[in-house]
Amino acid sequence: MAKKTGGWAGKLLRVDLSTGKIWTEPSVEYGRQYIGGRGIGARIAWDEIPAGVKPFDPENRLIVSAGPLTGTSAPNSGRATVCTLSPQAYPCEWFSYSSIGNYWGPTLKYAGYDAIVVQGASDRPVYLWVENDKTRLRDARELWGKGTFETQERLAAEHGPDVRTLAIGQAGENCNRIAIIATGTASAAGQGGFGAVMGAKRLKAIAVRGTGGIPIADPEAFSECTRQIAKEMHAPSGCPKWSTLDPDLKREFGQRFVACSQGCVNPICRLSRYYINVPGVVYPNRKYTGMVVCESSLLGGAPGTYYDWNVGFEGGFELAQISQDYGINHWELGLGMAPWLRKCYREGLLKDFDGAAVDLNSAHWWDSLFRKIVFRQGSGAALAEGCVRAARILGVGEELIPEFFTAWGFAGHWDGHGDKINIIVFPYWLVTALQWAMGTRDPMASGHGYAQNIMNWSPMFSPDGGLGWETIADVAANVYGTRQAAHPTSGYEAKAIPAVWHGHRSIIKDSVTVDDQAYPRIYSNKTADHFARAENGMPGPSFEYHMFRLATGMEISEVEFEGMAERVFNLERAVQIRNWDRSRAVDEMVIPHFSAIENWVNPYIGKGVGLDRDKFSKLMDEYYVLRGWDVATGRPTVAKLKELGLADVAEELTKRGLIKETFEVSETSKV
Amino acid sequence: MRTEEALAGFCQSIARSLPEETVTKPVVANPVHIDWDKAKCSNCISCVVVCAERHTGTSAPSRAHIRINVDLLTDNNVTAQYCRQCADAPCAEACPAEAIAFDETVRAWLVDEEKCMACAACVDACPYEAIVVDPVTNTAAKCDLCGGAVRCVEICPTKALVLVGV
Repeated sequence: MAKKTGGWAGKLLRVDLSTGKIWTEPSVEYGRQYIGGRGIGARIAWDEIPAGVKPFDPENRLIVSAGPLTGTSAPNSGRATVCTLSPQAYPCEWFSYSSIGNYWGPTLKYAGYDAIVVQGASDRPVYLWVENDKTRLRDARELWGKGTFETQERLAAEHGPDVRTLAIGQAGENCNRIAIIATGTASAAGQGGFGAVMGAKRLKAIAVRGTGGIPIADPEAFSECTRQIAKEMHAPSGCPKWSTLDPDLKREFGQRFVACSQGCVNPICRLSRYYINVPGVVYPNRKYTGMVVCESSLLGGAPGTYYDWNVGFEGGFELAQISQDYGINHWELGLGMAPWLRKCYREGLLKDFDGAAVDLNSAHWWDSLFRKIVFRQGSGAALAEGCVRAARILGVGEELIPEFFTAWGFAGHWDGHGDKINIIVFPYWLVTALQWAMGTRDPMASGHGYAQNIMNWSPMFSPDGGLGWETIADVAANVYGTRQAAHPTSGYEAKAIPAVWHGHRSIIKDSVTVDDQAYPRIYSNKTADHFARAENGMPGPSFEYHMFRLATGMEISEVEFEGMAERVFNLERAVQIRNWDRSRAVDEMVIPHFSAIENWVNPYIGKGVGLDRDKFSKLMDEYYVLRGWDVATGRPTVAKLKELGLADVAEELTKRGLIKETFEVSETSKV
Repeated sequence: MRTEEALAGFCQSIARSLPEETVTKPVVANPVHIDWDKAKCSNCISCVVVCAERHTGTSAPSRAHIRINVDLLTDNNVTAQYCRQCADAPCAEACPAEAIAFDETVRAWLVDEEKCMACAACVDACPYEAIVVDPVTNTAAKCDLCGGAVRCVEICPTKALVLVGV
């Protein structure tokens, strides 16, 4: 009897907007090779996005994928991953990814699809309507010009309240490079400017109703597995900082803690709050209803930090809703563009902002900023290109860009330099620096696992003292094989190991799909040794593997599962190499940003430090060696790609003269 | 306990006052049932998915025995449909095949799939919209408290679901 397969829905939905043709293809082979989500995206990019294609070209593919755990009872799951060429990425508009939560991904699975691949471009606005196996392109001229909220509301009115919709707002329609793809009232594929790709394709929305189900290979064992994991994750005292769900928290405006995504109520973050009928400040006759989560809260300012503007709760909430409705990237606005504009203004580099002052304490100022960007008015025409490009276009404050933007056109995130709210000190941001160096975007969307995990559990961040540095190092040794990977005095030692490991975990999260804040599970204060484990002894870092195995029925070892992630990581790199000539020299572009003195000080060191170029260069050597990549070029060897089952990829890269058979390790770079 | 005793006594007195043939079903004084706290619910619908997995082997919310409905856009109002294991079970009362009976061990009303004719009389009778005719098995399907270890209650991350009457 054939072994039961589950997890994957089984089909890819293919849409050509130029011809109007819609068809399906089997998806399980994609899944068995590349897991799902981001992995499917990488394979399709390799096969179908040749070098020379730009984000707004019809040849660009927009790939939105769920994974084998999406829509199942896997705790803290329910996401989908968008992969396409990134209009926001700088200097190259290269292939990247962004994950999106809420309920869209599971609904896609229930409709019978693992992914939707959109190619071509329509000559008039359309939206894709998917109702289980019935799919069609429909006229969207009525929706064009509407925000993401009204678009979703209208489609729900047309197709039913259980329809889940990905939509772009006016920003995406106008091909702003910081445009998001949105769903619900606060969820977005935010980083990358992917809303503009939909805008260029004149695809206003993808509305889905799914009423079917996903087979599970071993439902009995899977159910027990998710029960164990839910118990470990949901019991009180996950992470000291965020674990309290205070029942007496103010209920003004009907505040409720809600799931950001189906199946995702993460006691670690507890960041998502839903409010009803909050009166507007900029538009006092309006009332706003919706969710704020994570960085959208920052639009109101965070007193006592660098982001110390204050427009009040009502103003901040209104701004979060207005910008989500337009469909612009909160992270870019809050951590990049606005603080950069303020600094330019304060330093006299910017005399005025289209005739007015730059005033971050005014909700009206923010609102005018949004409108300028979205409708490309005045200096907004430049800002719509993203802050990094805008500085060049306007010829203003380019020298201040590195203070806020880490690399590739993306504002800082857990880097200890650009991001001034997430406290991280040397040597921990060395791992972040490696992640940024190897990335195509802000790598923290699925890369919180090292930096955030350690800092949240550390005495620096936890109000109750956390686990203590020595305990953190002890626990980390279970994962990285050495205490030095996480010890506060370890300097440059053993930092490549966690960078590689979390690189794979990031692929796994975006591919199976599970939440970045919750996985991988490493630290705990529910076990005696503080290493996270389920009641039945299942180690925290193995949670994803066991759920994947039992849902899909794939009989593979944990090492082989990680090998799948490594395959995807290398395939993404191969796309970078073939299409954008990615090399070590490009990776090293992050060095100047990290060379500045850090924002916070490691108490064991006593003074702030910056990146040491020579030592970091050695760390990069170590990283490439661990990956089986050529140290000089930062590219996978033929042997490595073959070992990962990517012989066809190796062949094409060799034919183009882009990679070598094997690499030589120089004396200085031996690990 | 006093209320339960009183209730049992009351039920018996009613039973005595009714004609003989209508008292064939056991009088159920204290069934166990799940209870849902709207204020605590985060609308993650983990309970719905896990219920479907437990009862159908697939992650199919449309086949679950508990439903959570949420309006994501206008007010995030959440409603739930779930079985109260009523003492007087209108579903069992309405069933012409006597396919729904109280199980003393699980202390819940269970459907005998062999007897069920899929007439949907129970669906119409249930005031909580908590029983459905499963489109795949074509038999009535309702909460059976998972035969003991209640999955939806176990997985609920905010303890919005609890067991009552244990």
